[in-house]
Amino acid sequence: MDKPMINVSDTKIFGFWVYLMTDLIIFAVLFACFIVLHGNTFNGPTAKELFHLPTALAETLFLLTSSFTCSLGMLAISRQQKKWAIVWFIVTFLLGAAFLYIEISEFSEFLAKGASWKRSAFLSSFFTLVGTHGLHISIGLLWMVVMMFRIALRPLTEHSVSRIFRMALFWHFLDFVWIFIFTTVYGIGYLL
Amino acid sequence: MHYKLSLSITGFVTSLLLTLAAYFIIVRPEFFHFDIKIAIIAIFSLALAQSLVQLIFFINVWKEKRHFWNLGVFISTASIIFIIVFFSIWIIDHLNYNMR
Repeated sequence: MDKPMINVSDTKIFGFWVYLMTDLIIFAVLFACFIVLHGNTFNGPTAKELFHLPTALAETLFLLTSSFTCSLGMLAISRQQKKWAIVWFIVTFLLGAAFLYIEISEFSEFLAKGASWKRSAFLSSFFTLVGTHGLHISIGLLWMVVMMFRIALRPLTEHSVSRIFRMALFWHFLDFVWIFIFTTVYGIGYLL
Repeated sequence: MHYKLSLSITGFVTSLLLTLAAYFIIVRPEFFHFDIKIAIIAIFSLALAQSLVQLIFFINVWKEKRHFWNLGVFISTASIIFIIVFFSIWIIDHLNYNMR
């Protein structure tokens, strides 16, 4: 009987998927923390006074579109079209950078209003949850730059395609988490 | 890797529609005559639908050779998340109620 071939790329994708799921648990804990603490404003600004919903919508649309362009980049990779892959990843990078810029300017606006993480339990949990997501986005952007150089300089072997696929998976995962941030943080904060 | 152009476009358009619907409910819940409880249930159902769209159309690990393992890890993570989030809210709600 033939032994089945062990494919290293498949194993790595599975391992990366397990990492993403543990990361999801980190986010779940921060979500639980935010939901529990979102009313404890300690006479400071409430979510409704602080949040500007069109900004959150703009962030969501940027991230959704970047997830789409990232999948177009992966499509180009699977068709061995290096140039198109780099073009789509540059678009993805710019959309991600725009998202990060909006988020940072939103944070500095809050800080200028005196609504820092020291103000109340609500703001501590808000900055921890959204800040952790923003940190992941920055790491994802860095990874995307590295992968663009890799696409430009190295041949597209099965090994490098698997690496690029893992980067794309990470990016889609961040989009997935953001949907819940939009609903929980901005939605509940605005409705309640 | 199982990317397809038609799948990506379908996923993108559906996710945009779901986001805009959720945004509209958050900004004007009175338009649908929703009270706050129903509005919250509505936006969370939309978020759940949205996350399914993302999982099916963009996070393409379901056709890998180890898709069974991927799915298994995903389901166990989802149950851990349910336990953490749902029961934290449940416990703290009762605590708040009894400390009033």
